[in-house]
Amino acid sequence: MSRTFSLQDPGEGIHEAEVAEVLVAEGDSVEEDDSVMVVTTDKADSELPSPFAGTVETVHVSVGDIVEVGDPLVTFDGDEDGEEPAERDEEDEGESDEGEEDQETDGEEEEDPEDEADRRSTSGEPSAAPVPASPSTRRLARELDIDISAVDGSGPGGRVLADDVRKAAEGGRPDAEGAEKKDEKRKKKKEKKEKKEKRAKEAEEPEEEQPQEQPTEPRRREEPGGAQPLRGWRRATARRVAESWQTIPHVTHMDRADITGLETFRAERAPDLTMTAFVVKAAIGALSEHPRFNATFRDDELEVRPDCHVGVAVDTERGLVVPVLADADRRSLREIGDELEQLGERARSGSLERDDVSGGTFTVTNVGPLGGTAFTPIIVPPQVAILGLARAAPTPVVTDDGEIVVRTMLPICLAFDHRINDGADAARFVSTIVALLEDPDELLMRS
Amino acid sequence: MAERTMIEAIRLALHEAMTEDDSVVVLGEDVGVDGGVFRATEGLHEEFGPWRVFDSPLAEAVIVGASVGMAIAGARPVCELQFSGFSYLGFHQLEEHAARMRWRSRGRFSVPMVVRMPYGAGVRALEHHSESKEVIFAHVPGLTTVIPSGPRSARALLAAAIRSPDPVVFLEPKSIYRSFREEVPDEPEVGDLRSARRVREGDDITLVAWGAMVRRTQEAADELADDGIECDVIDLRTVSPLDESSIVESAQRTGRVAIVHEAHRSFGPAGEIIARLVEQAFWQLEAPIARVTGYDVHVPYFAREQAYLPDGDRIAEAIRATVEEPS
Amino acid sequence: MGYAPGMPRSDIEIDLRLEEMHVLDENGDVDEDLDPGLDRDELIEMARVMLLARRFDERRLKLQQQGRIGTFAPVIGQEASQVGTVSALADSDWVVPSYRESAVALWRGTSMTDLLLYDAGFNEGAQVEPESRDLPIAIPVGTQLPHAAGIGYVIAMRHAANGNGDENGNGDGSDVVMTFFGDGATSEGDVHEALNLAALRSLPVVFVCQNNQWAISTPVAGQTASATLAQKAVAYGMPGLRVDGNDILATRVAAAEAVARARAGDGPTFVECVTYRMAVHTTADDPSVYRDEDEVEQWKRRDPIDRLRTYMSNRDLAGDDDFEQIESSVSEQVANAVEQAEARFEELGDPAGMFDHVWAEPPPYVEAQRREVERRG
Repeated sequence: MSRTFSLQDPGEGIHEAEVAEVLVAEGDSVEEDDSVMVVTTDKADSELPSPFAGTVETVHVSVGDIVEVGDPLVTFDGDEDGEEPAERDEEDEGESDEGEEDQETDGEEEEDPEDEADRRSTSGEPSAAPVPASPSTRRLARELDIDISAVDGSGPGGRVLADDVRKAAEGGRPDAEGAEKKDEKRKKKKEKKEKKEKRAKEAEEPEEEQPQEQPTEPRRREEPGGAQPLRGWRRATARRVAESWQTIPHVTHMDRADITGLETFRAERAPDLTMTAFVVKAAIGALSEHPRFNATFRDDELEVRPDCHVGVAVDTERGLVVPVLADADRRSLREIGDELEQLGERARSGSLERDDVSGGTFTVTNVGPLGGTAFTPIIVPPQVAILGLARAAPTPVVTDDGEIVVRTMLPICLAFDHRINDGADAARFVSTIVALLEDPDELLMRS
Repeated sequence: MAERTMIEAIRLALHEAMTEDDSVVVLGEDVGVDGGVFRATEGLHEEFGPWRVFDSPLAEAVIVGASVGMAIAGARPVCELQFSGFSYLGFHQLEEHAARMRWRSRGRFSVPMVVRMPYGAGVRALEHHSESKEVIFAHVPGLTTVIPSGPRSARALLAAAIRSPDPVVFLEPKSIYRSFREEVPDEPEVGDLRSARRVREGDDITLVAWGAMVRRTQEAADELADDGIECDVIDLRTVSPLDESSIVESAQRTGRVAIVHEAHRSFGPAGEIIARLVEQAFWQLEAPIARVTGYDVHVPYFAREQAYLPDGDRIAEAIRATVEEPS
Repeated sequence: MGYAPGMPRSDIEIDLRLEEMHVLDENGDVDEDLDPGLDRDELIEMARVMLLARRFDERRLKLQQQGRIGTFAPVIGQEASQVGTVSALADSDWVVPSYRESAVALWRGTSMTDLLLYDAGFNEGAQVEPESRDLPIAIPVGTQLPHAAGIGYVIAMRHAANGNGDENGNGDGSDVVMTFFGDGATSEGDVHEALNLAALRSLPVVFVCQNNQWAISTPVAGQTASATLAQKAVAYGMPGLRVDGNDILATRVAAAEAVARARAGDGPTFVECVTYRMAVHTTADDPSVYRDEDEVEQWKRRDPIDRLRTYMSNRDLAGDDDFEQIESSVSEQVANAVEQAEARFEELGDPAGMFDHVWAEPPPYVEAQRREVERRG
């Protein structure tokens, strides 16, 4: 039975040695503890005593060889008397302690990283960087089975807040278009950020050290009882409106429509219909003649829409809500009126669903009942125009004959995206609306 | 009950321990005849004599090292290092031996000793007299590091430290040695070295502090209560071993945490607490964990020391920012 | 210590108790006055333990080269320094060693198997028997002396409280602490502080300095400008006694005197045993780099075991047969110990063992770490 004497680990950080002398030859008979060779390390010359008794079968090294710990030196063939050297178990040394999280102390389920990745890819896009959201919000999203990456974040830096998740849960699953919208917004934000960074570099300003997420010291200093941060709904609106205003070059074309006749008509024939319903009808009619105002514009692509869905702003306790009248061009005036009433009720009671407030191609916003002579409304992206109505009031008007008469004038304020339409287009569009409102018969004929 | 300062409370605990157990020995520089430079050991030498209260030479290594030997021989030494800034001269005896003797001898010998030292800034002292290096001790397995926040806890925790079967480093925040009084029961009270204590209840944010910072943190919490922010304030008491369950329970409930300490920010104790919260309360966190700390500089000479220390404003700001972080 | 002004310039009178002593020389000749007159049994036991220590270390050197144990500090050449001094102690006295006191340990009953376990990297090897008053090996040089002073302090304190007798109620004297350290250690601050304290409070500590001439590669002359190490004691106000460390009778006499002084409450003594580290510092060391082989040869002639052998032979206390017998029994003991130790190596090594005895009561999160290690197997 052969046994091999290998270079053992001498400790003290030494891994190798040079063979200085070989004291035995093949065929020699060796007792335990007889020196078989001398090796040199950078610490010392050492004689190596044999751990076995036996006959030398093979000498594996020569003078001058560099041997490493574990390399065979001499193989002996069998004498049972020798002691086996206790093998130094070196495998333990390499293993580093991972420090796995202890499952028992925290009792929390550790999430499998696979799950997170799966959920994120429902939108079809390869998983991008994690969406900013606090751990508790992420857990909430998991519990509500919401794909957090598809949730519109209303927090700072696009942070997804718990409210955003809850809203997403209430509004049903984010649909493909909804997910698309999120992606657009994120892309736009990314572009904006890149532009900003580029500008900063060009200006060669040292980029201010922005603390990541949360600084160790607070940025703001609060006055006692003073500023309060925006929350939830208000915050969401603030964000959307700011973005629209910053992106779209708004021009507002203002005009007035003489609705004296329309008012009489309404009083006589349809007292249950609001003026808004009539205006919506007029707008639809005008849109069919000026289709470039019934369009959506995103990613530098303009889609003049064949279908017409008109959003109508409703003032609620929470703020302004814009439910959408779907396929408005296919509805009669009465239908429009009824629908508006229903939508209005649901808006005020907070029971609108996500589908109710999305997909518009044009919006009408009537602040008239509350007052005002004119205003500049803000377009709802990806739409390209919004029709604002201020307060209809008896107004002195100069007729063609130069007489002053009192007429009920309705201020009309059309804000439009100047990238898509010019002032002339807008003027013509508004003139059509005015014409329709001033002649109820035309209104019914052309819309 | 009587109202006592922290110094009086410490003296009380020492006196009680020495009376009850004649193996308790007090030693250190100027602790005998002079009663200690802060008077913590006043009266003990007179009552217990020069063996049980030993005015040692100016020699930190042997003050700590001899205490190790004394403890091995069956005494319960309570040695004093005059300021924590000088403790490094005896630190090697704590790391190399005090904390290891039980383990090395596999239980045959143990080292039930206490090392007391005034620690922390705020008394307009010279260089080296304002240190907060509790982390150095906390990093030694087998060593317990305790920092009381007031007279009552000082008395109870020192009593517990003296009774501990393993070595205890007892850091006494010198800035509150005399700055306020508190009800301390006349009957002996022995604290729990392994538990933090909730000193204020609230659901909006967890505040973790120890030593002189507990009071400042409580004051900030009171101020914020006026604005409707209710803080859960935890007095850590023992830095190591850490009572993580108290902190974790609170953080899981509030979702928001701020930690306040005098020690330098980098590699300071808050880092360890935050690591454990990330391990055990991560899914409840609603905002990043804030830490209000000393800066990464040597404690400045006293003209600037108050600027170095976390003050009420910094603490309040951190609380507000953490509470108001949208999540 | 007083101050008496008056003379413009004069020598200062100090408490100078500094002596050198030789009893048994290289040739086996004895100073009859100083000869302690030890009986045969005791001398045989001394010879046996010295030989055991030597043969054990010679074996350990081979075991280390074969990779069967890790590094250690051989005692070869210093057997008389250790056995002579420690033999002056009673069982209830304390021993505070450094890391080269294997002969002391063997005299006091520590098993070779335990020493081998320690050398092989098992914490279990450092275990101390329940009634033992021998502290475990201290590696940071000199740091054990304050421990000795502390133990001495408690002994003295109790003695003062109890009036007379040690705390075990034995006789008039108190227990004594004997601590061992080398020439290199005398440069360390802890040593200075401990000597100072022991003398200041008259503690019952015997400080045995084994001056084996070398601290790894630093000769004593590179360690201090003091002509002797014993004279350092004078500065502290304690007696210094310098002996030939290879003279087992001198080391015994010196230690006995120091022990008696301490037991009587008369304070500490510094005993310098002048000897030689015949082998390596530890096994990673190559002395030929920094010292002359001639020096080693010289010291071979002063071998402590040979000297005792000569003495006993001259007195007809023991002959070659006796020593052969001792050698063969020692050889067997060593072989057994190696065999037992290697059997233990197989049994031990459960990684979770690293958690034993760190705390009287481990904190919960440390217990959790232990469970983690156990799970990993």
